[in-house]
Amino acid sequence: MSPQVRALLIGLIGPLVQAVGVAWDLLEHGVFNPGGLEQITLQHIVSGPAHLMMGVGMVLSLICIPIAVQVAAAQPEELELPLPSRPTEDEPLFEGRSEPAEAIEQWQP
Amino acid sequence: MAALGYSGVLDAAASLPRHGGVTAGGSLPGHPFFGAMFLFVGALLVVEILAGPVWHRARWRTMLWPASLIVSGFGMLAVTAVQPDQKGLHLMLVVLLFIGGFFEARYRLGQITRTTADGFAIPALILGGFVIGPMHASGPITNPVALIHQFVGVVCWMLAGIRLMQYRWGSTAALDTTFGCGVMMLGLSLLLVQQFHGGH
Repeated sequence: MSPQVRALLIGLIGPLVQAVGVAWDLLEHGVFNPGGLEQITLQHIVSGPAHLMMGVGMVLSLICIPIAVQVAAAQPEELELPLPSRPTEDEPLFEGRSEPAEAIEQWQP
Repeated sequence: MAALGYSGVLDAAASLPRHGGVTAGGSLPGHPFFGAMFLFVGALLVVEILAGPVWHRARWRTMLWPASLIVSGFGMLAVTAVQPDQKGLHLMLVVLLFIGGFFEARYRLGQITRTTADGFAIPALILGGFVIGPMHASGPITNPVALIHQFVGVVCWMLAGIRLMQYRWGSTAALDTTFGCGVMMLGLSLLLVQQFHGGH
């Protein structure tokens, strides 16, 4: 996957979550419970699932858009993660394999 | 908060509604906030896979997932303190969240291997699924609220299954992304609980 495609997906995840929240809210207030508009309370505004989803999408956008810019500017080899070792026929099935903790250290600048 | 004092904070928190319901005073329910948190962190887990090492350029981003588990544990501790019913179940969730957050943090700090962390995470997810689903759901299976609770439990078991697959076949981008999407689904299911519980 090219850096640009990754950046696009990263940048879109916040707006997508927001869009689902907006659609949910419109369905709830416009279709499933249109008469409930007169009974909206502060509690519903703050804790309504659709509203929270919109808020989450907004915060995701704030965090992910700068990441998307960095990813778009990165080289493809910078984005590849080190693959952990995979089991071979000689390794016992339930002994497990250790993903090297050093793999995380490789990501440190 | 300092001005309110410790007793004032407890009094305010005690006005939180019974589990999933709406009080006459209009206090805040707990499910949707946990749901929003898991939806948020699950999305960031997916972004972590897409961004690769770019994500880990900042240490705070690397530690976001275990930190959110630990913060959820403290949130659930508050729920245990103020909810008058099912304290045992909530306390069990507190312990499971702290265990998951602690060992995930140690793995991301490079102190333990993925295998060791999964040794605690997988049983915690399986037990969590039982606690949230069959043990926590009250009412017949035809009741939408009970059904959604069971669904939340099933999502926890799905996450345990994904971790088992990662243990057996090793981590791949597809499995890691699936785990992130599963956490998002967990968040969405908790938001759906509130959709059926609460009203305007």
